[in-house]
Amino acid sequence: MTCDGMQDHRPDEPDLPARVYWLVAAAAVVVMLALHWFTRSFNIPLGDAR
Amino acid sequence: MTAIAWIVFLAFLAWVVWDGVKRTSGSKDLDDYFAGGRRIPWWAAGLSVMATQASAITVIGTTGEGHEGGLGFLQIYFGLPFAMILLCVFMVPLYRQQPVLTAYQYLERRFDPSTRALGSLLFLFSRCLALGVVINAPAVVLSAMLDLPLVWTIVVVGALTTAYTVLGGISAVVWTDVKQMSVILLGLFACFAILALEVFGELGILGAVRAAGAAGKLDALQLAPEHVDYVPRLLGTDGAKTFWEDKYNFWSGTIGGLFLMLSYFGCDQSQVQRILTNPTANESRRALLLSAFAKVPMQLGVLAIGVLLWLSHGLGGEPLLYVPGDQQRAQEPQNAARYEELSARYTEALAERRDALLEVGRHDGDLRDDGALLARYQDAVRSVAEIRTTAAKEFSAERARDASAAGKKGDTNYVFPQWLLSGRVPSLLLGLILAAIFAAAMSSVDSVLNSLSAATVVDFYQRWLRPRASNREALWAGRLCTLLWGVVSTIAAIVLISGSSIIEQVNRVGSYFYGTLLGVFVLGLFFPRARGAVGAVGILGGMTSVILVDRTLHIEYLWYNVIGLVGVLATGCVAAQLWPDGGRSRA
Repeated sequence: MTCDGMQDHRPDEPDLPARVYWLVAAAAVVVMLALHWFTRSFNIPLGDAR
Repeated sequence: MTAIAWIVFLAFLAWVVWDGVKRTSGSKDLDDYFAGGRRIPWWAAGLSVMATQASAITVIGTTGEGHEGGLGFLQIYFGLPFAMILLCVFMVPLYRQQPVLTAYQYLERRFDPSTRALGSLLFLFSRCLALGVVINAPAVVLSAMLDLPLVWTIVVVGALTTAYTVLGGISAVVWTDVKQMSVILLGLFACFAILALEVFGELGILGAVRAAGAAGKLDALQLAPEHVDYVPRLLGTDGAKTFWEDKYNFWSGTIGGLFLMLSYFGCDQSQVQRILTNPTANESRRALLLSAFAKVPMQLGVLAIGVLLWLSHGLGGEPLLYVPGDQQRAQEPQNAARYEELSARYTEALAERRDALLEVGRHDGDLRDDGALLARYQDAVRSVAEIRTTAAKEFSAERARDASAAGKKGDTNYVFPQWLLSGRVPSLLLGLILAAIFAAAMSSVDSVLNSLSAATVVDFYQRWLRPRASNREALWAGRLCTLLWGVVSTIAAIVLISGSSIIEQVNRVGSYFYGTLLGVFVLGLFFPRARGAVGAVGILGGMTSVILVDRTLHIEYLWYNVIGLVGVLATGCVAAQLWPDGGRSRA
């Protein structure tokens, strides 16, 4: 027996609102921008002293 | 290891195994055994997703990676949040509209039985190869830490994990993963706290950041690639490295990493199975989004532990050789003189690095303005690293077996365990952290065992051999398959002891498959003209593309995911034009 053809337990539930995904994407971009600033501010690659 | 550390460690093992075994009676059919009766809450599935991804080698290796290379490794996770969003939108509905037990059932519905069989075979083959490594790699380090024979360490990890996975199925996997993930997070947090207290106490937070940054350890995001030649080099040719050979930068992490994560979380049964266990599609989405939010900060924390450890070593010194076998080789009579010479140079270099580090830590203002101090510090950092590399190359037991093996690279996985056993970690915490490393090994192995069994039983046993098998028979087949996969993977891990070059080879071969698997799902989702056996043709085209590229060009493995995907889509589109019904009857 496979489960093909079975119905989801709550098929009528509405999908997560799109703003949830935008929030996740925005949070990821903010984290990346913060890391970019952090790297530019504090990181000095080995060899840059020369 | 003290008695307290052993007690904490063994108590954790007993707790996890008991918790898994007690779920034996919960499974009445395959839906219970492989999908937990679709009753598992999103947060448990989400933690299980994270625990599966966090193998023991992630805990040990990522801290070592932070110590050796800084934060740059973080970039391979930048594609993950975006991958999770795409999976929530496109893949979750595929699996939840008609709840399936394996990801590859979709391929039969969309294409034909041969595409499903081929997709499932790709998964079984790649995961079976990788599972030996997942058990073997941490066991090598754990056996050194626990002072147990390697074979016994492998057998203990393999047998305990197989036992509770056979009996409890996916419910045991998920609920033990929740506990294992909690212990992993607790253990990592404790390590971070111990190292932060030590380093910040001596240098202050800003001083520590300045010292790590001036050694190039804080390269968390590199927009500018290290190499800007965009034409890939042919294998066997000399010349400067190209953009495609940068292992970790923003572009390979965001683009290559995006496709890797899409494939791993969306098409690999060991992860897909987790999103099949929730009551609703939205709960599955929440489980995925938990990783989207938590994974990058978690990996940043793990790498930061490595950077803090590097600073701690800068202040207190570190061994010349980390790998126990290398240390023994250095003590052999024929190596003693050379080892002594290198040790003397190393002691001087460590002292110079410590002095320069303290000065950099106390420096006010921008260090770039004090060129002399910066140059002195970076020279001292480089000098220590060079002596370590030289020693690792000259005394490497691995290199003695295999001339092509890199010297210092093998040290990475031993850096963190060496610190754990250095006597600077309280016994209670040592037991907890060892338990966390063991937990990370088991939480990855249990998920893969259960998913290998699901693909074998649902996609082959039930589909081709015994379509009319009763619930009871199918359930027993599931348990038997889990047991068999447990035995096979434990034996594979023992066989891998013979040499690390095999492990590298296996990892490389494993990276062939993901882009292709993702490609056939994308073909099904977005190319309605591709039908029937065109899916199987696409899979073969994707695999051929990756193998051709691997055999001809210098390209880092993250890009293989993109190449496999493009290979499937190109082959699939051409095949769909030439063979419109893909062998399916139009009736």
